[in-house]
Amino acid sequence: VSHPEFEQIVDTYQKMVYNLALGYLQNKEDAEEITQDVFIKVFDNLHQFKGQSQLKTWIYRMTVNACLDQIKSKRFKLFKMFFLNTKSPDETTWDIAYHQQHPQEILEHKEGLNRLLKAIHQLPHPQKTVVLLLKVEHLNQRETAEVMEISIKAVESLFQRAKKNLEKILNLSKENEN
Amino acid sequence: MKINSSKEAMDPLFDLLQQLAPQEPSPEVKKLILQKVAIRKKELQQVSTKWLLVAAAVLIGLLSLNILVVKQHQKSYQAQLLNQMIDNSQNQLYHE
Repeated sequence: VSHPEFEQIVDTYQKMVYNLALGYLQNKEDAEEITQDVFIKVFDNLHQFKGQSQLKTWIYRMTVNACLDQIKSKRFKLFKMFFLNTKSPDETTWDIAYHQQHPQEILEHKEGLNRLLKAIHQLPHPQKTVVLLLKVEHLNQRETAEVMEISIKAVESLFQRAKKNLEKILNLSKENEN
Repeated sequence: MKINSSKEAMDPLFDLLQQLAPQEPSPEVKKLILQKVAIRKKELQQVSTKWLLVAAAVLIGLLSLNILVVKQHQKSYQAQLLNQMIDNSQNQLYHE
């Protein structure tokens, strides 16, 4: 792929990749790192892209996988930190990733959103992916199923379970506050 | 019923989530991506010329080895032929 063509791919999809990574990792630095990694992978594997799915779906899938890998490596770092007593590379990680058009509304719902984003972060990965793709990235169920390489029914059931789990997590955090 | 209650409880929150405006990554990100890709391209080119040279060297090595083997085979065949001719002429002399 030529340089201008690749640059166009970056221009078209970098915002999408960054926002999904931001939703997944809830940390700007990590999201920027993932965005870079994903596009390097896109460059490396573009010749293998068979066009069976849309380029967008393919890049979404790569982003989800890169985020999961990042979470795994972070866990390993935490494990190392705990057992080898080394310092954590960044502990200032949990800034909330949102920005809204109506500042007044943000203030009103900021707390609720914060709690919801933290609760989403506690979901098992497949449920978290479904919520982020459906509700933050606004993909439909068919697109979500394609990205996750599962059936539409599985997407529906994951979303229902995610809703129940989110409600439980949010209720628990409320009880803890009280 | 339970599904309905969770639907009722969660939907306003999901509505809020849907209102989140997408964020822009810093312009540095694109710059870094393009820089890394340019480095990658250079590396790929270097690697391919390196491998071409290695392949050429291996080919030359194999060819020269092949020539050596053929020469050796030729020599041993000539010696065998000579021995056979000597044997044959000795046998002929003996019979005569």
